[in-house]
Amino acid sequence: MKARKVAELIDGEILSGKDLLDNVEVKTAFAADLMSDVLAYVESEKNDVILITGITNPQIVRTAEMLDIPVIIVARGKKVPEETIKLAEEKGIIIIATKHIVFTTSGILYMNGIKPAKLRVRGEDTHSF
Amino acid sequence: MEKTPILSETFKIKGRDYEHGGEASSKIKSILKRLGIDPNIIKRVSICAYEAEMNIIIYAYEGTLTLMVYNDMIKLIAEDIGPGIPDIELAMKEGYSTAPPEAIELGFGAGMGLPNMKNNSDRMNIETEVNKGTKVIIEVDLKNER
Repeated sequence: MKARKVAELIDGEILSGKDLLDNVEVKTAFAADLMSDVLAYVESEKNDVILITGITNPQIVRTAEMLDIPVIIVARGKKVPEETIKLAEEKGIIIIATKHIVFTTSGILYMNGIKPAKLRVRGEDTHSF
Repeated sequence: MEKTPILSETFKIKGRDYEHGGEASSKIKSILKRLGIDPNIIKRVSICAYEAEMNIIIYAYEGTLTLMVYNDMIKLIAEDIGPGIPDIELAMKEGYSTAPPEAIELGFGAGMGLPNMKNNSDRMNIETEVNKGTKVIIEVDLKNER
């Protein structure tokens, strides 16, 4: 699904990455307020994950950047600070703000074919020196 | 025995500097991209770098994050002056955290950092001394593409 379609489905307001809406294709989503969990669980090998969150600080963009997550949805009508929007613009990440809560946002996207994000296999093959 | 890295770069990180959290990791990611490293390796190293960087910001007074690129692996060294880790085994437990509320507000401090770094690396080593600081060394092999 194109990022533009995602924004339409959730009555979203595009805060950053307006020029990318027709280029970015997303297939899966992960919802969390804990960026630690996003970093620990999300396998984004195909770079097609949407991050749905209720927090607004620049760390949401940094987290998306590290995992090559192209679209962030900020739910429950939260006001997104300018520094977060600026960083997202700089990093080529789309931020969509919606008045819907995380539950509703997720439900709408799920009903329209967005699948749960693939989770990382939590390897035990790492060992100490 | 110690080989010479192809590239070595060190970034300074200040404790409690939440505002710039992730900048060093972002630079590390760009360097690795420029070197044409495999995207999945870059992702694993970036996750480790970001977790390490946030750990220094959340817990330490100051520190450095060093990226070293070798022919066959990438090494990250996160070294800080700080409170140290009294019980490494406990710190390695998922969900165990001593993070302050302001870190949790940012979505960090859930006790996933060190275990996540271990999961994303091929080798990890922690040296720590209470009231002195902590040094975390992480290695990711370049041939081991998962």
